[in-house]
Amino acid sequence: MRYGYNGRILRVDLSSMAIAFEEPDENFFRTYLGGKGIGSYYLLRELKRGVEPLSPENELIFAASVITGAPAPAICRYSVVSKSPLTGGYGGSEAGGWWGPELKFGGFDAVIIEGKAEKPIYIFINDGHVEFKDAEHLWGLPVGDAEKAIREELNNKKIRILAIGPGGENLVRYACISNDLIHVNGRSGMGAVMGSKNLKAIAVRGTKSLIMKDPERVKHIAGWFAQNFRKHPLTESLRENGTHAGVERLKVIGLLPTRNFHSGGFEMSGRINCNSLKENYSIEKRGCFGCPMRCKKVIANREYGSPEYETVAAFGSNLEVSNLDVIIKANELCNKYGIDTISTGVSIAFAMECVEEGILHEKDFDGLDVRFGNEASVLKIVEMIVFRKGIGDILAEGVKRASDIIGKNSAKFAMHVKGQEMPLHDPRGKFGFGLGLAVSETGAEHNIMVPHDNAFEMRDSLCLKEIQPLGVFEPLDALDSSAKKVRLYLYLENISSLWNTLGVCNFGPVPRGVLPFGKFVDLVEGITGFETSLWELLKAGERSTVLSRSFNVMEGFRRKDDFIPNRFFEPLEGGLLTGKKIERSDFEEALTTYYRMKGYDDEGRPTLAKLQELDIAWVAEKLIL
Amino acid sequence: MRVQVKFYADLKNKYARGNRDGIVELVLKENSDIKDVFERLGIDDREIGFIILNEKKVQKDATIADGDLIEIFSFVAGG
Repeated sequence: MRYGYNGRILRVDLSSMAIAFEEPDENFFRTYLGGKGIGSYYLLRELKRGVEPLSPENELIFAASVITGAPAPAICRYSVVSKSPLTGGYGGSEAGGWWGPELKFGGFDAVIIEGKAEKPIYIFINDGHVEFKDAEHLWGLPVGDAEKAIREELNNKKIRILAIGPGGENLVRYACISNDLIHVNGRSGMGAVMGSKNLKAIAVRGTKSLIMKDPERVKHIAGWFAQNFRKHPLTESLRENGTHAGVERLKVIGLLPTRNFHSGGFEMSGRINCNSLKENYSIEKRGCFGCPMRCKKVIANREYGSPEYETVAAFGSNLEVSNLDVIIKANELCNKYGIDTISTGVSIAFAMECVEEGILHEKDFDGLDVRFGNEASVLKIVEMIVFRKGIGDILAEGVKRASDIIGKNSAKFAMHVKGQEMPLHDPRGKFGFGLGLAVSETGAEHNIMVPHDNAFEMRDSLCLKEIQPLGVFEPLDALDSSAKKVRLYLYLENISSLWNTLGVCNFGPVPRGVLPFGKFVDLVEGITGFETSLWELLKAGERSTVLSRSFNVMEGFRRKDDFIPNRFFEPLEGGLLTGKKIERSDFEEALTTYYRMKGYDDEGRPTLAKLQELDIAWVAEKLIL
Repeated sequence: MRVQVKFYADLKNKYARGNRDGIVELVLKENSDIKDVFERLGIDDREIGFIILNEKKVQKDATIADGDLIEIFSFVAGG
């Protein structure tokens, strides 16, 4: 008897407009669980080496998990997985809201999209039935308008829709996918893959209830969460201010990226922090399915939401822009047109530094003044990128390709790892995070360890206390680069990977949230009936990391691809940590230690024994081991 | 002895109301340590990221002396 999940995967071939259903057995679902696990499984199983990411040969996988849709907090997320147009390797991005649960209620655990439709279409999944709908009249519409039109023509307000905007249609390499306007699968360029398939949206409606093994247990844990999350400083802060609170907190410790990561202390942070937001705008709280925290913030009477931390830093401090209104509008434009705020902001920072250094000029931007701090140009450049106008066509390729095209040493200003733009966090103040930046399968991203090193420095730190069940109880300085730090990183990497496999939000369970590991395991058992353990679940997280790394290895990634931008080996130029830098020798040593702890060889490839231990020996032939 | 305790970011509002720079002055007995400061000011140490004493990062058992500056930073967590 199956509990918590449907046991059914929908396969759609857009080239032939055919659908098929697959029903893997319980072992499959217990091993791969969902999200990143199921996504990387199919990607590695089915893609030949060397597929062009924006071609019909790529697969686009939407995966919920065995627990998505159960009525409990912070377990509503789903993954979008594909070969990334930014990195040429594993691409994956998660989002919350209601779409994941609705897919489960609609009868499926995951959807695999192959091929390319002849003309723009959208898919409608309706209680197990699948229809292809014409989307030519929707192509070119901003995300919100397309969603509205779809709801009207399907005549159903309860439908949940994920969609791309002109960004994805125009194959901006960092285009994103969103649902309900404010829940975004931001990174890895998944929107561009969707656009390359002529797929505008996937609408879902499901009325089926999930059957859980022990609904009382699940209800009890959900109740515990509701009672306790406001007493916890981290979750209460998220409820109060959302992630925007990170701006001031990072500024005071000298780690708020400023001027394309030159500095860490933006002096005008006071104008763009969450206090400024509350003083000048009317903010409302929004949330996700099943969660009381309501950490998402929106501005009254405006669509597309209030910016998260990453966006505020990307369009604010990192561009030396101190006008919160510009930042809010930039966030709206990116969400409206469907491009990732992080990659867009870091691409604009690249452009600004190129102009400051005389590599690009006003004439390249149709007369716009594109130096740091010039807020007037920011929104115009966003539009140039979305519609690939003028130099926007080059910036839409991402900083790595843009610097290849522009040449003239501009690569120094291209802040990326493996081709994906840096998130707004500086590893010179958190070494473990720096290691994670380098080894993350998707390229640079911020959720590889949650929280970052700074949460584990004090003996009585809340986060340190919460990870004691992993056998970690010693505080470590954020700049510590020893094997102990690598070990801390490695264990947190497994946790983050598990969350991306089970569709769990970082803000729910420890160490970032309030739900202890024991209760989390209880929750999984109550939903699925699996007599499981934290150990088995963390192994599943590890398995997802190794699967996605194996995909990269198949595509030719080696140790040289596990790097961090050179700027981080140079000293920070401003803020509390002025002068701090990462020592290359420390980095190289930590990377080697990481490989050995993980069961990888010196080129970062999983060994056969590691694959066997994770019960994925089938991967070996993909890696020619 | 007299010490200054400086709070940053959202801790300012919570523990140093009325002072723009987030500073609270304390008079303590000799041989006090940072734990005593926390107790005196009712600081919830679950939300403390780290402590800097005279420009060095320390744990709560660090002893303090007359004229010291203790800077308290909250939990950093972005997203």
